[in-house]
Amino acid sequence: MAKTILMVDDSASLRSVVAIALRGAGYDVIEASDGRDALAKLAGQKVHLVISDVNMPNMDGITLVQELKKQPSYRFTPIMMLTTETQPEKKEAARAAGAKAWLVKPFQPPMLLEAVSKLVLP
Amino acid sequence: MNLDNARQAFIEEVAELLQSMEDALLALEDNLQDAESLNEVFRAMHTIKGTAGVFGYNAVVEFTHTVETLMDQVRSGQRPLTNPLIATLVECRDHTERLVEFFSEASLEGDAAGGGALDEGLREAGDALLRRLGQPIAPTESVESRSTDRASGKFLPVSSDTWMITLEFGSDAFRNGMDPLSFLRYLGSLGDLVHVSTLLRMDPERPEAFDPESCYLCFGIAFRSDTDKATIAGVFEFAEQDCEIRILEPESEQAKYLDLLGAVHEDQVGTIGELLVHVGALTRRELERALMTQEAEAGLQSPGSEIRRRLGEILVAQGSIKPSVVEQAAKTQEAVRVRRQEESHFIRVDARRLGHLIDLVGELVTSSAAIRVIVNRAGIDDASEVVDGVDYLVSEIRDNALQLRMVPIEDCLSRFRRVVRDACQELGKQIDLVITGGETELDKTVIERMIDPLTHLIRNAIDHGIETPDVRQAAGKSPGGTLNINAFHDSGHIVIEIADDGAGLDSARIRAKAEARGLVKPEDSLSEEEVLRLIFAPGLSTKEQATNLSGRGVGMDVVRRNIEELRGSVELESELGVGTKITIILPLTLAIIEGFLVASGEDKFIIPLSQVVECVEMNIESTPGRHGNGQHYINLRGEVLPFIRLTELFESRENRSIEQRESLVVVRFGRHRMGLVVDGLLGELQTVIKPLGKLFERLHGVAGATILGTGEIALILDVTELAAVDQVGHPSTNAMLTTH
Amino acid sequence: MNPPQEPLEDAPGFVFKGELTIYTAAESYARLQDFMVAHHRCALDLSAVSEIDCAGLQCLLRSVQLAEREGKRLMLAARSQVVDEAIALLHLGSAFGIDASHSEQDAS
Repeated sequence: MAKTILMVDDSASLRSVVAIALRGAGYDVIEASDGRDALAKLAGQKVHLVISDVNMPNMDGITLVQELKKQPSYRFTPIMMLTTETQPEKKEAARAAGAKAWLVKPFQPPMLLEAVSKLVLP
Repeated sequence: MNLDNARQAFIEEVAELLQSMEDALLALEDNLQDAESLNEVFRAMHTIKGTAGVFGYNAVVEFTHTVETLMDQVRSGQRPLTNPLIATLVECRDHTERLVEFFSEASLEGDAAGGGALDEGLREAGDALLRRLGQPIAPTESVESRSTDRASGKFLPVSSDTWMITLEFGSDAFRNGMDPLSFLRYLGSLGDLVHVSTLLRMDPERPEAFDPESCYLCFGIAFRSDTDKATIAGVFEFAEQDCEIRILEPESEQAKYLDLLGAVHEDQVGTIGELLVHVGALTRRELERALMTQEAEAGLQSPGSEIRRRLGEILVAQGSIKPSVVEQAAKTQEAVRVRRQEESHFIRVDARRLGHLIDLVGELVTSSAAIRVIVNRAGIDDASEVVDGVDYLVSEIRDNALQLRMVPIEDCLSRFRRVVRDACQELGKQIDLVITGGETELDKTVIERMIDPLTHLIRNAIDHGIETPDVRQAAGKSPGGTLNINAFHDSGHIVIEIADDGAGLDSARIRAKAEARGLVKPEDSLSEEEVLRLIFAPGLSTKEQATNLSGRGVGMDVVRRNIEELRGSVELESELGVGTKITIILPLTLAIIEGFLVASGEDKFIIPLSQVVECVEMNIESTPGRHGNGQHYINLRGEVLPFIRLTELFESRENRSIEQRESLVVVRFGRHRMGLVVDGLLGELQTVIKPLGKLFERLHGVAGATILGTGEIALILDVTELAAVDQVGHPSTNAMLTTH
Repeated sequence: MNPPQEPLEDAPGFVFKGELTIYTAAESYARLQDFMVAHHRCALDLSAVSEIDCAGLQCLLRSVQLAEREGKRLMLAARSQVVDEAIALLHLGSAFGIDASHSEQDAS
């Protein structure tokens, strides 16, 4: 059974490259453009990992983490934030909210796959 | 979305970001303290860097990273922002554009990796820019170097011995989404899990203490692999907060490290720690922990070694600096977030989808007109009311659909700031660009097609219009010229004015040149305005020598044609020595207009309603006169009004009876008015413009055709062209229908 | 060390289906404990477990630990492939009284 990953980023191009890489590795991917979109697209379905950007319109990544941690279906789901080395305070905020994994932008798909595999294998 | 689409999307994202970066840089030129714009530049570089990474465009990542770092220094006040620096940043923006272009072309040519060799010239150009920025050229931490470190194996070779790994997971590990199973599975992919002992740290005697959501597991793992310590530690990087990790080297190795450490002097321990991290014996985290412990110890045994205290001080100092840094960064992030939220009121829609919607609305308008005709013919009153309602809704839908494509013209005009700025530097002129009415909205497709003509006109103004400072001062003007771009709505049209306070056009020279080219005969009498309009004629350029800027083989005739293809018109006012003003009048949209349906002979025509001033009954007593060259004139309330009889123009009927009642439709175009004599006025009509086929594209005076509710076809008149045909040429219909 | 194998059909069966993960751990564990209160032996049927993680495994480990303390028998009688893979990875075969070499057949 393929593992499902929710990929949240407001850059359509980044999102789709990541989705292509993940699908190529055997994951199912749900794509969302921001936190609000992510919550709408999830609608209770099972995901094994959430990958989310931090700065996004409508609902940023940190709020998304907080929302996910409130929901029974997602409170234990691992969350990987896409952060940048220039915003350590964001990382702290995300950690406090419950995100425990990080990937620093810019990254290439192999790095992402490697990081993802540590948390969830396809 | 496939990878190609993703690349395309990336290119579009980059274009947008670079545009906003450029706007921000130009704003900074005016106000070096503009923090918002500073952030914008930073954000553009930052975002491009982040996304370029996934495509493997390493050169883009490296370059934008360096610029971003610099911007960060500027933002935090470490580097002063100066005008020369802004100028270099503008070039950096351009370089980024070229880099992205380079890679997008490379990927088109099948170099899918994209990370292929960067063109030597580009690389050098980039390096030169970075040198000017005063940033080290060596990429700090590029994707490339990071991913190859591990594979290159330049560190101590590790023999295939067994590593011992112990993992003690904290009770919150599961709740934090950490599944030891995943880490072990991944570790298994790097080598051989020779042995795993899984322990449940639970007291069997206390069953009630077990919380199934807490983690009580610890593992001892014997692991055989050729990999290095950093890689093994990396497996558990995400578990660091939830897990006590100990990694013991294969024994043969450990001895080496011990020897090494034993040989160093105490003073060097800190440095050696770093060294060990580099050598692959210690992970960064272990070193940090060691330093922290050192500090704790120093606290206990206060008169201890000095180095220890120094280490402690550094850590404390780091800790005390942090809050203010965090605060500052939080503020700037907040500003970005607010901006993002403003932007988020918008949805991106594929322009083709909108185009399709508007096409469909067009069909709907036609269908609804057809229903109207049938209902009227059948004379059903009840249905008539319903049709009224449908008509209203359709027109609302039409307006709303068209509104979707409306964008503020500012998006298009702002790019000219850059054009003006660059041109000033090149030509040594001082030009102040003033844009007003940027918020005026216009159909995006119209805007896109206006970019070239506008660019040309603006370049003309900079190049030929506004003089150099010394020339201006000699003429008693201020050294700096002003270029005004003003946009506003005017009765269903948008008007764009481009005015400069430059030298103005020399009508005598234009006339002379036009005569030399055979465009006018010396005996022709032309008004001042008519002479000026000659610059729109093909093959007439006012400047002997075309410059780099405006002389791109595009003449003013092309500008005029571009504008007319959009059913727009262009007018020109100029006074020698004072300046030139070009006025462009464009329809708001290309798709649907409010039309006024008239009958002429057997045929029906649509006149754009926005151009109709009034309709009067053609009075035989007002005795239309005829000018020497064949033009008709009528006296309308004391005003002399030229008019065209459509039946004559289109030869739509030969046997016209004198008693036939005629109407005069007074239309205007720009500042002019003229009359169109028609046989019948049929009322207002929503008109879907259908382009004419290739065969008719040279048909002057006709902008397109539309299908009426009855299924008949009506031609849409282009009033401006009609007037031109009638004035400059001759009222012969044959001339109008020539296909060149 | 392993308890003598007893015929499975004698032991009352208990079935876990679907996910046996952190999301179901609390509920699964409570159900199994309730069952064990009333029974001395249990043949656990995990053949319909579609997903298992360490939280799930930990519940099983703890249940086995408690059963042993009380002199009861809890057997992982049938296991799906994912369960077997997890057990094999963590070398938990002996802890669950499973002969690793036979796990493949049991899995089917």
